[in-house]
Amino acid sequence: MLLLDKNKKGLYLPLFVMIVPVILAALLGVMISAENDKEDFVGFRAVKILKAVDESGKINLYIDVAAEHSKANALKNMAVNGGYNSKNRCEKTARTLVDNEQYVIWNTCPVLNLEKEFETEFKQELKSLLQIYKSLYKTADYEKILGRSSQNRQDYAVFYTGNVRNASILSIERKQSEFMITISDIALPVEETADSAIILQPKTKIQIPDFFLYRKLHKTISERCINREFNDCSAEITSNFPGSEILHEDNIYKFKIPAEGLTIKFALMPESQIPSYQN
Amino acid sequence: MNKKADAALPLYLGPTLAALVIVLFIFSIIFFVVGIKQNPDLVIKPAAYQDSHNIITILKIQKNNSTIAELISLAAEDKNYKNELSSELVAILQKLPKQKPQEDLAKSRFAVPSEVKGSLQSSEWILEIFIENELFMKVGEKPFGSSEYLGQSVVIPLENKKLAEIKLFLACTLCSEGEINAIA
Repeated sequence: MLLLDKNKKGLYLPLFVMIVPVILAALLGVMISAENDKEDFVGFRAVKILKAVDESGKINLYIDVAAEHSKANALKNMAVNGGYNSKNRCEKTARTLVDNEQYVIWNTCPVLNLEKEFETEFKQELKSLLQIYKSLYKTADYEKILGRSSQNRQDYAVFYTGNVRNASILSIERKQSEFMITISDIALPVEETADSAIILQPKTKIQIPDFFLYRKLHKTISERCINREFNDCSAEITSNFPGSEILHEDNIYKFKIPAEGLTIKFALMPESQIPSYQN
Repeated sequence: MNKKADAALPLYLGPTLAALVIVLFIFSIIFFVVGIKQNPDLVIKPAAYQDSHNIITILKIQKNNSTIAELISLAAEDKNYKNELSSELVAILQKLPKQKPQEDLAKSRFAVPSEVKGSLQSSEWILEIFIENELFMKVGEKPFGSSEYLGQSVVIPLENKKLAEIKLFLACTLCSEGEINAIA
């Protein structure tokens, strides 16, 4: 003891031997706790990103299919409304015992711009389909992959569903024979990462519908039906549009014109002018 | 003073070094055991992640001016399209890669267990379409005693504003994880 007291250097080795287990034990503790907290396999983070990318592929597919259905539905609705969108401000005929259907009265409508009407109707239809989107995203099965359960798992399907439903249609641009539809950005947060997200910028396109039949119909009506006898008008319409049905009730003509699986439906007051047609 | 300390050093050098060696030995064993106990499978398996490329590609396939996705919508409205859709899907599913029986027992002289297992292997891709959570169509038959692998699902809208959920999976009998990973 006397020797050690007088020579501090002699203490270093035993002191070192005593400190080594403490350091190693601390290191072991850190290793074990890090291992327990670890939720990552090699490739697991990449898989989480790929899963978000996969979800974006599904959303793109959904939007492409929705756009095609919206086009078909928009054309159907326009036909029922005589070429106008379903929220038009035109007056309609009253329902009668003979005919329970209502017809848009062309004379009470604004200028007929079919592309504009189509855009309005298409937007409504596409938005309504976006609003029913349901994500099938499944959060990673940590029990299966890592062999342990994990706390505070969030349901990412709810995020993705909400973000798609809240998306809006930014623009519809005409590009040659197609409409390019741009939808607002959709953020897809990457599972279990703080600030990582994939930003989807959805775009889709549809063929611009051919409104030739409407143009022809408008021309025929304005030239052959306004201030003309019903029989003249009826004969002209049925010869130009085979399969058409025309009714004369009070002072109103009611038309049902078949067109590529649809029926264009409208009414007309023959004594007054109809709105002009705009290309 | 230093010389006295130097003279005392041999007294505790041996036991101290021995203690150090013991400590290091014990900890090396502990570290080794802890190291072994770490994640046995460090690299994620392909089967743990199933993307939806197969089902997305199938739905985009063009047949007679309409895609399979549009054909599903048509079939939901008009039953006449259902048979067309079914036959198109059968033809498409047959082209997807799947596990085939690896052994033909008729050709082997001895029925070794691995050959028996290989000969019994069979797999089929199954596609199910649900409309509003009700099964609308099922294409493919599950082999007896099969398990489901490589599941993929996607949602598409229908023209009548309902949702169709399409599920695709590989039903495989006696398939090992490695074989499924190879297909994935």
